[in-house]
Amino acid sequence: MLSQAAGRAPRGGRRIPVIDWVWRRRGSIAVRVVLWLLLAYFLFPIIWTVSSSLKTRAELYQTTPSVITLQPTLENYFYALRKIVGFDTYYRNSLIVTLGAVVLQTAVATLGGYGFARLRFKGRDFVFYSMIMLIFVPRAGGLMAQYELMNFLGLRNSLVGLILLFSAGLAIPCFIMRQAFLNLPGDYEDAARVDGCNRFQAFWFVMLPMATGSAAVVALFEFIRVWGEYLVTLTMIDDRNFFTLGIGTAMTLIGTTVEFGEFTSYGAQAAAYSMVVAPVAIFYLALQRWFVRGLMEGLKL
Amino acid sequence: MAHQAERRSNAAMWWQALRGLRTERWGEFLAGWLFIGPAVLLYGVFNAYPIVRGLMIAFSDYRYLIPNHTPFNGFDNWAEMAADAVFWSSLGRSWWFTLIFFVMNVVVAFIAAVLISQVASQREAGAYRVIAYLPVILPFAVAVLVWRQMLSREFGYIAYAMHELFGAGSPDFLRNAAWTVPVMAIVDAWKVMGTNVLLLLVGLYNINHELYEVAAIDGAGWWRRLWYITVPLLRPTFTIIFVLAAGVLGTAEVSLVLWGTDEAGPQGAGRLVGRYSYEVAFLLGDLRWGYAAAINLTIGLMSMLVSAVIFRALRSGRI
Repeated sequence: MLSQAAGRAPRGGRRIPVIDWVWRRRGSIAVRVVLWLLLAYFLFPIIWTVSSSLKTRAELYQTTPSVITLQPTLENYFYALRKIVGFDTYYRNSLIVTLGAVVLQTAVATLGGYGFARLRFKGRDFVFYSMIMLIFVPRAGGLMAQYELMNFLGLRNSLVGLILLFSAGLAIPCFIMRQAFLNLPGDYEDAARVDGCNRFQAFWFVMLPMATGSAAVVALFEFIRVWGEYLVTLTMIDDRNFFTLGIGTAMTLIGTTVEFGEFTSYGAQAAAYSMVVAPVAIFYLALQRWFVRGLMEGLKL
Repeated sequence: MAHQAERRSNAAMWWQALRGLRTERWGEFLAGWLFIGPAVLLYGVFNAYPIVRGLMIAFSDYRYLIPNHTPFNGFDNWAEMAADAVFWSSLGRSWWFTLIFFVMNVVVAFIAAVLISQVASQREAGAYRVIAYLPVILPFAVAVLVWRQMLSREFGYIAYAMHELFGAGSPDFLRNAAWTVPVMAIVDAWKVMGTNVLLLLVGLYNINHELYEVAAIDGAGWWRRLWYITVPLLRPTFTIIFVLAAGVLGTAEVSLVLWGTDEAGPQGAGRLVGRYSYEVAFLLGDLRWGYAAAINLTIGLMSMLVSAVIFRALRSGRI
């Protein structure tokens, strides 16, 4: 009866429960098979790196590489920490730059977004649309001009300089925050003003708590972007004391086989990558609920 | 006495004037600029100014290592570019790169998004979304270096898998010049595809479900519904994806990390045009900023032209 309910009898007319079950779910099974193949493409390099970082030397070089390690060990992590010169410095620099840029940009973009959305004043629309238009202007010598500017300000080879540069990409963050404040009902704010709040208090105590989701999206985007930034950092920083992880790992590990005679162990490299990725992965997994929802609401516009 | 009174009225007048300034409009003006002030200042100094200044650099023979050498030279940079063989060969590579990148980012991301949208359980679909976005959060250098390892002929998993599955030796992805561009495109696409999957999912979730039910009643199968309902209704999302991806023609990072800053891959076959302009600006000779900026401007205008064409085509429904 079940098979008839599914519209078609399994071959041979007999009802074999397993085949019957599979046939009724053939659509969703086909979807899963293709989907898992695709997801393997997304995930496999990451899983392989993490599992390699936990393998022993013998396991790393066995002829049939295993995907999951059987005897996990942290040996590679200690080895990488000992061998990569300045890894702790790079790590500290990355944390300073990333947290600085995230806090500065989120704060500034939230204030700006509120101003653009909720207040009417001369010059507002001109400034806002200029910012949006500039997204579409080709970056001809932008990097060179930034280099020149940072040199002039004495901020090249400085973490503060990087923070200022990275938090200045404000067009899209301001757009997201403006959109967030536009979508909130204005009545709350009016009520707060009637009750004696000034503008800033109305913003801080009433409107901002309702826009936290969008602020989290801005912060997450910025965290991901700055933590992984490569080109600007490479250009601005040539003093090893101010390297971030993005360029520090690349410079150390590209040269591995030549410069660092013994540092050829893939396990140690994988351990270094895992340590580099850990903070941003934790941040992402902690905020991902906000993130997908924020993205979906933000894009409806 | 009279003097005193006059003074008082003077003060009152000033007070009046100050109060006049404190009218609602002035208050809004001041408050508004206080709110947007920090953003305008930060953005103006560190972002807007370099963009404008960078446009000016493109029309000069600015060489960074020669002090005070920024002569305006009109379109001379373009005359030089026309005769620059390295520029043309790297531009060709970049177009090839962009083509593969686009196909990956549109076709593969679309398939992934459609399949994820078919998953009924919210929890399961949520897990898939997280996985699809995971490569995006990786630092650029790490993503490229992980792939470099995967593709290595001696230690890589891909070489091993090809050997096991097909019994054939794998091509040497990292040393064979024919493979450099596809490898870069696949790695770069892998890194950013998650964004497109999420964007497409947002579009898919926003499609009205009744459309599919009506089409199903009319006898349209799964493929027909996909082609005649889903694809046309996702047109705005595809537009966003194309616009976001327009800058990829000038990308330099993947080439710089994969091959290092010293050599541009086997026989220079990893030199994308973005990398070439970076080399001209920061690694070669006098650091010729003017010429490098002109190259960037050319690439930027090209990609704008392409996205404008695609944008119009998508708008008018010809694609």
